[in-house]
Amino acid sequence: MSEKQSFDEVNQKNRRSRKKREIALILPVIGVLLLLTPIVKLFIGSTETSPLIGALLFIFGVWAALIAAAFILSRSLIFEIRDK
Amino acid sequence: MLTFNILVAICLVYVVILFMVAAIAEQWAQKNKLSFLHSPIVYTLSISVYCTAWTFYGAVGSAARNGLEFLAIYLGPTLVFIGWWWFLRKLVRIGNTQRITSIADLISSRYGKSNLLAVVVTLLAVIGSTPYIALQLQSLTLSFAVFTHTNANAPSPAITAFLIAAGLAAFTVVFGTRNLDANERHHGVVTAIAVEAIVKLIALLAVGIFVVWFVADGPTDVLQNAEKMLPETTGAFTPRWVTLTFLSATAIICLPRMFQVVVVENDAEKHLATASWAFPLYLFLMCLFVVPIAVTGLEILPEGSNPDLFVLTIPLAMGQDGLAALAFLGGFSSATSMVIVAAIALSTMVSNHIVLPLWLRRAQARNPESDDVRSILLRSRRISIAGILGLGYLYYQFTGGTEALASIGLIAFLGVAQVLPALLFGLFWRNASKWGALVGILVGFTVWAYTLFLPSFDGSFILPNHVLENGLFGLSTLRPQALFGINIPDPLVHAVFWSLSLNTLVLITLSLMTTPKPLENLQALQFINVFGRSSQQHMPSQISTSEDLFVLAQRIVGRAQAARLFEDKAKEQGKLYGLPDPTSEFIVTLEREFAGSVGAATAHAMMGQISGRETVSVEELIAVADETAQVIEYSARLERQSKELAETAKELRRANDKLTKLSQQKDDFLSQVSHELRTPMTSIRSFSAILMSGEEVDHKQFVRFSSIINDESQRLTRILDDILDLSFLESGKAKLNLQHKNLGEMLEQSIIASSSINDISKADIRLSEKFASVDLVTDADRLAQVFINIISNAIKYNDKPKPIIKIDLEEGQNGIMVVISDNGPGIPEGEHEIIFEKFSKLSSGGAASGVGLGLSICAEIMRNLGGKISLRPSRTGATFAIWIPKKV
Repeated sequence: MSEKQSFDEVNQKNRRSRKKREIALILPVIGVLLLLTPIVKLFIGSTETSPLIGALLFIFGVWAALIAAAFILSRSLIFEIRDK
Repeated sequence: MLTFNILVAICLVYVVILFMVAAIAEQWAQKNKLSFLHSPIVYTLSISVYCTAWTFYGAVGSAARNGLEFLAIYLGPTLVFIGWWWFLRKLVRIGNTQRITSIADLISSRYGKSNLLAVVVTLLAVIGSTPYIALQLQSLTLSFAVFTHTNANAPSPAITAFLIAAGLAAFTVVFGTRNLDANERHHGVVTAIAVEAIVKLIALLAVGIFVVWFVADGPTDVLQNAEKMLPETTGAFTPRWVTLTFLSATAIICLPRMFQVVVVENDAEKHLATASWAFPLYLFLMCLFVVPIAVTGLEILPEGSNPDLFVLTIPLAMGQDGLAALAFLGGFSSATSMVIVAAIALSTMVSNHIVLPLWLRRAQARNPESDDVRSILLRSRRISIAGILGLGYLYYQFTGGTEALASIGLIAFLGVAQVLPALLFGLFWRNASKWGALVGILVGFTVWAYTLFLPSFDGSFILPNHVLENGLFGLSTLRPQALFGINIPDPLVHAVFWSLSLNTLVLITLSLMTTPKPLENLQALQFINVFGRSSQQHMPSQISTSEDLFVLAQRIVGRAQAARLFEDKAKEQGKLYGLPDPTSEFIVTLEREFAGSVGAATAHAMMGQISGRETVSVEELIAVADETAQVIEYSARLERQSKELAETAKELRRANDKLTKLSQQKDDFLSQVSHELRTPMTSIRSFSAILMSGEEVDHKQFVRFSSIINDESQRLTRILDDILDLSFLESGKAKLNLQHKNLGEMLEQSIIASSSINDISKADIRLSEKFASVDLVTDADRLAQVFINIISNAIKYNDKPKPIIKIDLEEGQNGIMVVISDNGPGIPEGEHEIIFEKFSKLSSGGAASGVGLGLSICAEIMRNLGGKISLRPSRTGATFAIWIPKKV
């Protein structure tokens, strides 16, 4: 019983750290999608604000979000680095 | 009012502070007080060398002219850094394990340590960086000019630029080439750069805060103004936007100075984790106030003011001299840090890949050990730094102040970006080959020069106007800004597309067509599998003595470090003192250490020169073999193991057979012994029974019977004695009574002893005179026993009327041979094998008495004495050869 439980724990831990690494791979892809493709038009739209201000706020918003995500990720990924 | 003189004084004080910071950091580094220097913050700040004066001043200018376009220059690096886990981490790991010293070194090392490739990349980097350095000189000169246009005594821009270039060269020489660190790390410079990073960030933030909250009425006011003042088009999310992001992402990896701070100066991989968010944050903060400054500048400053200098001119216009001075210092920091790092990176490349190989070739006839490589390296680096800054200055002189220089930043980016395909494919595709990389880079570089670099001079340099309009040789397909007739409106996008796609295409095609050399394959594997469990370290083997290596190491990495390296290695090999063995693993380590100072290609060439060859060993070949080959190798190993098992089984069977045979022999022996004992026992019993019966036996018969009983019991005793003697000898417990003895004497005594057993009166015994001069250390009694046995056998079994026995001497190197031959009947051929066996009696020798233990005892005695007795084939008679060692 306890053995099975610890197996599950190890499994879960492995899955968690794998997931973290996968998110690390996906983060720049998300960044590219948001910052370089026409997807942006979905967010800016044709509201009363001028496209320049909309784009400016959008870019800085995405940028800040990416930095925050990178910060959270790096704090957990740093333990996966084994320096000699 | 800020005067030019005050400004110069501020700069000088600032430089002195930088000097001190760098000097203290160097001292700390030497005393190993590195905790602060090793912090990820210093690493992150040093990466900010990306933000040059071009971005410090130029970003505002760009925002005023082109809207949001400038942001792309910062988003590219952001994307690279948040994706650090899959690219930068690998790059840094490779940089650390392979002791990479520059981008040229990395490319050359990946493609089989090719120096040709290193030279091409170095030249490319110098060509791509020179305009950039000129740009920094221009920014500095312009910012000085802001303060000097009212001052008649101020020096002209040309002189200012020259003084700046000279000052920067001096600073870089002092701190960039003070020592040749094994890892090519410069703690002093990096720390100074980190300080500069803080200064420029604070300066820009201060100006920004001042503009938003003191000049304008807060952020909303600025944003409302932005709609009016900035261009209509956003400039974002266009093909040019994508291109710029891509180019800047490339620049953060490929620019020599960026490679220097990100990869070469990296102390620990985990610093990347911090930099992954901290560096984007730095860029974010640098950009935060760019738009407000641009908007406010456009609003409050007179029409026609240079937007590139708004950062300076707004505080000046508002009468904030202190803030203006801070902004000036920020620009000064941006420019100086870029120039210093670029000069260090380029000088390393030039000296490692161009100067040193040339010197090595010149010194080919001599031994590389005989010259001081260190001093040559340092000197060449200092000269290169001066040369690079000189080039930058010259470039500034020829194009300064023109449009050409202002737009050169992005053009230079693309020039250096030609390295990207070779780098990317090199890290992820093992078949990427040296020729593919080389030709790809050259093609990309040519296309870049033809479509972007030369046209940027507007027909005044090499490419005339009519070529720009009508194409080379009048062929419209070759129009520089519309290659193959495809019209891409933006020349930059056009050039990026064609140069990089042709570059990549050539790289892939040639890589598929060529077969790489083993060394190239090996390097490819080490680069691609850098995260593999164990890096295989097969490299040149057993090439030279440790002394040669030590001398060479001293010349390159310095005496102290070489000594430490060799001591550590010796300890690791379990030697308490002396030099370590030149194992192949050690040689690989050494080559890496050297590579840290002189670059992979040169280090490899030096090791090759000292060893006199540049071959690749079988282990390396196996290491580079593809999976199939590895499977084959594995199955070969399995086969070898199963063969070994079969061999062992065979041996076991053999041992078993031998044991069975021995057991059989023992049984035989026992039955023989019983048989031998039984015969005399039978006669003793029957004759004693007759005597006991009390029947009348006459005296004559009585004597006969009792003498038979006596003889038989004597024979019984002899057999038992022999058996005991033999088993004693066989058990190995026999103690030898060693003494000096003359062999001649020993033989004479043996002959006399034999005469007591046999009648030797008629025998002719010819003893060689040579024996008299032979002295031995041996057990004389035992040896005599052997001689007596052989001699008496020779007489006993002789059927000739006059037995002749010859005793001769043959001398060998560590022993002598006593050869005893007779003229008797000899030993039948079929029985040569068995005469030394126990109880072996010759079929022919029936006449004589004996139990057949004599010769076995002789063989055992000789074995105990370390010698040997054997039967020599001869035509007449029997010849025994007794080999006796000079010393037991």
